[in-house]
Amino acid sequence: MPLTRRYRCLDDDGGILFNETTWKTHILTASAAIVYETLVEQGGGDAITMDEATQVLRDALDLDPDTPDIAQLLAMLTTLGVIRR
Amino acid sequence: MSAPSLRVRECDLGEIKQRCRAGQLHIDYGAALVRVRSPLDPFARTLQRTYGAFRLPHSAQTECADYHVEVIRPRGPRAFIRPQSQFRIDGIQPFDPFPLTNALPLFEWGVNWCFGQRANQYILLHAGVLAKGERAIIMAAPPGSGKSTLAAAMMLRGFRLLSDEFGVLRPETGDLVAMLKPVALKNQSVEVIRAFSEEAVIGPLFTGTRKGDVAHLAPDDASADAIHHPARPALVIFPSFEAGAALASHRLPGKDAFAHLAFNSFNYHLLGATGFEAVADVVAACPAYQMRYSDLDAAIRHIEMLLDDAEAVAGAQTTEDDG
Amino acid sequence: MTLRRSPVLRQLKMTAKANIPPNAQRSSPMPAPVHITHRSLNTRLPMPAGHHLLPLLSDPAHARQMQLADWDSTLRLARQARVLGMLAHRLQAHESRWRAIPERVRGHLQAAINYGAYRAHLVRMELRDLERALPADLPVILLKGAAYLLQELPLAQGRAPNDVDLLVRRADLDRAEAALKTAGWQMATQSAYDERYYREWSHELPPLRYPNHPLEVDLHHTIAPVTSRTRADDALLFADPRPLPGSRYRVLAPLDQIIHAVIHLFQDSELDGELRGLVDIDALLRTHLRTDGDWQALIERAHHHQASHLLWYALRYCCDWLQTPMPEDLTLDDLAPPTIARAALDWIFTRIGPPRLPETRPTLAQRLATQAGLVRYHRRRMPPALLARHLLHKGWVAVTPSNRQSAQ
Repeated sequence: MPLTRRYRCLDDDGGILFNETTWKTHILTASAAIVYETLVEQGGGDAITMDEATQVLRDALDLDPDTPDIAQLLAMLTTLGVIRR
Repeated sequence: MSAPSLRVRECDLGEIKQRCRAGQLHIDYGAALVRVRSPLDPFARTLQRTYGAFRLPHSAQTECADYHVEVIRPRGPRAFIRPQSQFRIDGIQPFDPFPLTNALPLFEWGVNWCFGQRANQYILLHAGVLAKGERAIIMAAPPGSGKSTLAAAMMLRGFRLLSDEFGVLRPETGDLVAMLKPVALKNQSVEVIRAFSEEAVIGPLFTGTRKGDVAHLAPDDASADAIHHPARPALVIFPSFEAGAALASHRLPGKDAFAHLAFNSFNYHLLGATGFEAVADVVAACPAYQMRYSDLDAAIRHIEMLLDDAEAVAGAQTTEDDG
Repeated sequence: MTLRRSPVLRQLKMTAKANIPPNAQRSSPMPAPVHITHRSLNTRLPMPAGHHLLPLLSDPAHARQMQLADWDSTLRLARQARVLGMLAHRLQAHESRWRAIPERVRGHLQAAINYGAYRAHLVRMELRDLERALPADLPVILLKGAAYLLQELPLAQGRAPNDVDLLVRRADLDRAEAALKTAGWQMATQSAYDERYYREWSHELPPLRYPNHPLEVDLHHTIAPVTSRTRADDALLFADPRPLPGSRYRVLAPLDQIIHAVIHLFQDSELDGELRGLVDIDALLRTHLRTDGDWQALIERAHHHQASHLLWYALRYCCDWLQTPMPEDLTLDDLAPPTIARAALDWIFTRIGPPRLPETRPTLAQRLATQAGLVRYHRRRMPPALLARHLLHKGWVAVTPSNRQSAQ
């Protein structure tokens, strides 16, 4: 499988993400970038399940996965293959 | 290397006209070499004025042109009632004809069209580019924000102009390539720039074009002589002109600068990962600022300061890395 | 005007032994292939494409012989013929050859490669969306560009498809159309006549497009118009589709892909500026046929699909213009069309098939050939009575635009 996404961290300013399947670019706020980096690290190269993802958000980042913002971010990360369907 | 060739303004007007008629006038913009054919003598005269600083390319270079374009008078009965000019590339006519008198703005837009459509070996940012030495400033802003006026003023204060419309980014090297064209000044900008510097060489005023009144500022000799020297991106500025406003600037987060540069680019959507990496490299290497201004000289001094700061930071980082 | 001997007098010898100079045999995956060098055929190549474009398409190593000035018109001709991206990929595949090409030229080639990649991406995205819309149990075969792309054929590289072509069984056509329309694809508004023409006499539906999508979708139920002289054998086509690993789509069997490309070019196009169609066929032949047996099978397949004459034309131009390697002892005598038809097609295709430089006005012969290509196109697709009705209707609509409204 070729790389399916590219990510660039822009210092403390957030990050940018390119989906190599859809060619869509996503702009991540600083907090979204932290979530992304944490989940990717957790998966160690593989996609993680939604349960694992919400667990990590609660335990490691002290975030509520049920707020609309976070839910939207998780949905996006699912389409990007960070979280397994 | 052979000796530098003549500048367009040093040539006899008769020769420029003759070359135009024969389709043997070549203009080297840096990122593109255009072969022009036009039987319209007044057009040749305006070309000579606005492209005066450009050097005629050596014949070895002109063996292969990037675009073969024509500015001609359309045929047919209408041509007698209202004389018109028509732009063509490879037999394609991308726009409706213009009035005959507006052949130069038509040609300028035509060349922009060709370049914007075809030069997909580059990332084409919608930005003006100026440089001090090797250090390039990318000035990106929507039309109407005074980007062209500021670019023109910067050139007249000694910056090298690489481009007024296209930030031509070469993905293999991360360099910016010149696409040097006369700066299209619109409406009141024409008088602003005329008053700004006695050295401004401005072509005839074309009234009632698609974009209002337009006149073209001729690039200076230094910019024309450097078209084949790329520059490194060093600073990104998003200027906005606001009459009477005090000068103000603030640092823009990298992701916002990325979004502005990428999503306003002519062909970012078309280049996939190549475009993503190239624009990300620019944003990673350059601080980006939003700048509001009303006074041109104050804006230019401020940009010089930001450029020096950016260099100091970049220098410090390099030293750290070395240590 | 091209310099060539009278096509009527010239018998094509596909047993091309006479044309092979010594040492023309090169290493190749094909058993006993025939390579023909440029020199042997140069006088027959149509100009100006024959100077460098056709030699480059035959063998990218030709680039080594080119000067900067040669590229000027070659780039323009390649762009005109829509083969610049394909050519660019072939040139880039070889590092030292690529480096030897002047930088200005490489810029154009790289731009065409990037553009081709973008179009390929658009096709992939459209197929992804179509996959969601089409019922999972409905067999869908990809044709042409989309098929080459998903098979990852060398031919697909740099080739910029204009649309997406899908083939379904006639019995599934209504269901496929309904599914796409439910999912949001729309048919461009047509006159009632056009719509009926497509549905009754054509081999595809009017093009469908999802709002704001850059590509159109053509839904076919067979590969040649139902009224045309050469009708492929549908049963044969649908009997042998090939799965694509990891995809819901299928493609035609390799031989059918070739036959389809042949029918598409020599029956279903007006021949004008259609060099790319020939480049497609050349690449398919080079990719899909490996043994003498494959070539024999292709000839048999052409007979089954009633496309033997068309295949003869294809092989003949591939051989002459693109030097497609063919087995030495291949005999095509029983494919050959009648001499007069051959002469006619020769006269047309050599004049209008290859690209022209845009500023050169077409010669009288070229304009006549364009007309002839058009007439031939219609005649092959429709029986005379239907053609007469079709042209009469088209002519009528053209002179009385108000009629269009009443027809809707």
